[in-house]
Amino acid sequence: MTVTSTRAKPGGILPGRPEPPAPKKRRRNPLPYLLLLPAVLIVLVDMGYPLLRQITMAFQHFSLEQQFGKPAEFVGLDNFTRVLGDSAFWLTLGRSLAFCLVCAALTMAIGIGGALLLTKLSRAVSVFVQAAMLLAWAMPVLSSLQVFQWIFDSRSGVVDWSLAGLGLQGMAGYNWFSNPVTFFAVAAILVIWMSVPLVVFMVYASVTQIDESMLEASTLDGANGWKQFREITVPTIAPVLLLVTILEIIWDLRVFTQIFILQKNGGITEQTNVLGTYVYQVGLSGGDYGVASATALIMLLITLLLTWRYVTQFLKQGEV
Amino acid sequence: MKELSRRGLLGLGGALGAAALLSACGEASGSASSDSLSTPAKLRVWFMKDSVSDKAQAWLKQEFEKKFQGSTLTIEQQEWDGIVPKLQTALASPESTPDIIELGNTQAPTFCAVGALADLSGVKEELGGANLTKSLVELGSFENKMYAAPFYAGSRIVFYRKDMFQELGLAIPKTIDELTAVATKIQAGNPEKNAHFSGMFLPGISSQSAFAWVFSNGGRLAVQKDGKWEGSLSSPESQKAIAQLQQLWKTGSTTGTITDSTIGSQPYTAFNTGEAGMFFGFNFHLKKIKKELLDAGKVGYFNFPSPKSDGAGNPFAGGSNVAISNNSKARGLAKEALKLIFSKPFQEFFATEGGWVPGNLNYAAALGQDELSKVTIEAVRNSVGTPAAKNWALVESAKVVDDFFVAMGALKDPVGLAKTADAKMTEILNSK
Repeated sequence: MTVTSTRAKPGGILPGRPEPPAPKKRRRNPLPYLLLLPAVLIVLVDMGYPLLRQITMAFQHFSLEQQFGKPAEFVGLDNFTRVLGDSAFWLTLGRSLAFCLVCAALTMAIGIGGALLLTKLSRAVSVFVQAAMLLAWAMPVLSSLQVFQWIFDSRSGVVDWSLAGLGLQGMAGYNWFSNPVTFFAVAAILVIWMSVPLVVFMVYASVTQIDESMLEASTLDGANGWKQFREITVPTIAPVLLLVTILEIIWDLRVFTQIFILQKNGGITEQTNVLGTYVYQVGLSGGDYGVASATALIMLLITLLLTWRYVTQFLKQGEV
Repeated sequence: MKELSRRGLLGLGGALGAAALLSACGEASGSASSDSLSTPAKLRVWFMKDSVSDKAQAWLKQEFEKKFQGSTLTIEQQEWDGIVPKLQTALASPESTPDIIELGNTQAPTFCAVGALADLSGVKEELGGANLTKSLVELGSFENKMYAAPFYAGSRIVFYRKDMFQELGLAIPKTIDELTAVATKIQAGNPEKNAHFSGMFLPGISSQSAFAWVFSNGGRLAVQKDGKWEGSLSSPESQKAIAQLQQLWKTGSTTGTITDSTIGSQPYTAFNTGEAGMFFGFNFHLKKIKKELLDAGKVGYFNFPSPKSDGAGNPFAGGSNVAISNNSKARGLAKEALKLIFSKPFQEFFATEGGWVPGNLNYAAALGQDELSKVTIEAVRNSVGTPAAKNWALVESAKVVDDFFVAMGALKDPVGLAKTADAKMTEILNSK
């Protein structure tokens, strides 16, 4: 996945998109701007206002008293120094990054493998598998969380029952949610399970666009499957891979619901906080909105740093 | 392709989404005059799960709507889990706030101190005056003004299987050590030969149950010294209690590792399935016990014992306060509804329907004269509350104490973890 490969197909991130025709000189027509207006307004109200508000709060002392009407005073960088000086924040950050990278890497590996497998399947089976994955992807996250909690339930869960049945010592009645390592293992399985389908669909869509004759020619020249994958498939679909990977990283870094719900089951809140739940705990539960806003801003910054490449590419694409 | 770009945008938006998380908070609130009684209003009332019986709810709605034609009263039932953050955001804006709210007594000091509640000092006498439960009045007051009136109180008692005690020749324990010994013997005996059997059902996540050990030994969760709060789980008294608890979890209970708060809040379930010889619950849990067990006379109850055999121990003082949101647009009518809540019929419903001790102690007699009521009233009389500190609700929602007792249930190091928890409590309790 290199940057050079993205140049192979100018004009778009997905391959196979026709070059848009060069714009002709047009008279100024206000209609396009008028049509844009609702969308712009929605974005401004929906995202601009909260963002502004958050930036303001990050520089204020804002706790419960301010929430109920006391005027907030500006405290400069106080909130930021407090966050950065808190060891809990750094532990949470490390945990979040590790969780995000592991999940994103595994999701990509499983997703690409699944997509390649799909191309080899007969049509009927392939449709069946795609339908199954669509269901997994469309399942509301709370429903799948409930099912996962049942699967890993310490009393009647099928996982403990099976492992104990296999003769593994201590697995009968094992509580997966009371140990940070197994807690995150279950959370990771759930997160990956929910995001693999999208990767499969996108990679599958682009793999099927690859020129068959190119693959045939390489077979005649004696290339094996691995070589074909490395030398033909990957470079061709690199733009898609890049895009999906970065999206996965963004999504996995700001994971909230899964961790938040599983924490209710685990009773080890502090050892299982990720950035999202940490911000929630400091802000909404802890009543310290100023520090929480500062933390959320830092989180935004980290996300931007991690995904800068995609963002610039996204902007470039818009200029075409 | 289009879809892809849109998703891309969503992704970008997602990065900014963290911002939205905090967007709901922080609207400064105007307090319009809202004390009129003549303007009809739609009152919204938040009661907690298991607090107010259906009968009492129906009575309140009917009486209120009859008395104030054109106005309505709607009761919305809330879950305890996550209620503090929900109140923080809901109470802050006149548009979203419920008019009357029930507050856990441990959370009341926080909301009284930050100006979220309407001053009730003017109607205090009408609500019950000197007959209101004193400890709950204290928790519901700030700077000598009452903002949250005592709603009801309750404390845990120990339920046990009489037949199991008889079979194994056990007597009702008089001390905490005897309680551990009895639990150990029942668990070893396992009279029903049940694979999940536990001498006593006591989940690690149910920290409020575990407080009984701490309080009975004279320990406290936090203490005030020279105007400063200090976490107190490291004190010799608390440590002694934790040693007793861990002994129980080693030999007399297999349930210390239960971390699911839903299971923790239904201790009678294991008892009903014959998987526990004892559980530590509220008097109204008696109604949840299987009929066969009750009819066969197999169920008994006793007060939590003290460390030495000198009467009952000190369980946690459960209970609630009830208050009016300062942002309510109908504070006048809400006060009228509050008067109905503190009238004789509604207060007696607590005793006759719920099994709680009503906030106005004048009506506590309705609990009856039977053994269960005697044990319950004794438990409430001896009960001890959480610290009346302004920031205690924040300690609760940061899960400092919950996390600690879960770790204790898993038999982790009591000394080191108590030190960490104490430091956290000290920090939160003293922050402004």
